[in-house]
Amino acid sequence: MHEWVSLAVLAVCGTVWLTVRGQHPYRGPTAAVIPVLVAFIVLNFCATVAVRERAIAGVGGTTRFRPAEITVMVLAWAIVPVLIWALADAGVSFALHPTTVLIIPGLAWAGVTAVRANWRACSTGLAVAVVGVAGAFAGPAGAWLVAGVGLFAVLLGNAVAAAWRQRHSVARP
Amino acid sequence: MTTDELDPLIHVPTRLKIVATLAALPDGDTLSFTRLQNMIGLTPGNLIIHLRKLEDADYINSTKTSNGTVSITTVALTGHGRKALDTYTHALRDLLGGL
Repeated sequence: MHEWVSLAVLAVCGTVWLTVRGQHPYRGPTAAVIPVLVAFIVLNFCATVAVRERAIAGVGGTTRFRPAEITVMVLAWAIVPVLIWALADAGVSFALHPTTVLIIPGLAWAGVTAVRANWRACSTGLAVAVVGVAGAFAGPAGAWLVAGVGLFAVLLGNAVAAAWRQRHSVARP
Repeated sequence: MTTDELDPLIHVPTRLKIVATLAALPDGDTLSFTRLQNMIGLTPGNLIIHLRKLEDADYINSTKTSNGTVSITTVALTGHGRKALDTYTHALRDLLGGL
């Protein structure tokens, strides 16, 4: 599934980048693009939750997230608008870059999965945070390209790592 | 390499499916009897027979928990079972490696 999501992220962020790269000054995605972007994020979130719930039906133990872990991730996403508002209020240049939203959730995911000693997922979280930081140096329009290419690389790398592990270790998940 | 190294307990297709399904879970995680039955496509009676054989060999352990009126049976692969599957997999790879 990750490979398809990675392609979709690349397509969506790449499309947004194509629409904003000629803006001087930068005004952000057009009104026509924003609903598509929001719909993609919502659809992706719902599909991820639905697929995961279906996959782990009847499974008990560490596979399921503990309430504390869910709380950490929800708080990480909830804090993003507050952080962006605070950064924008302080006049930080990259406050409104699309990649800025990735930093805190990426770090939170890395923390949650590090506690579980799930190092592949932890690396993914750290890589997402790195993409978020890299976008700060790319300018507001370039950050869309960084988000698209960066998340594409992270998700595809994750899919490759999962496939490699499945091939080389039959008896170990 | 001889076929004796292929664990006869795991070599039965249905039990191989059961063990491989449970091996996909992290250590200590359990799978409900109902979900396992749906995944393997067996009748409850058939599944119980196979699970009992695996449990007798200490390849899996099953736990029955009661939640008021409903009782739920969960099964998990033991460390011994995981090791047996690993050995079986290597033996099978060695056997087929020359093809």
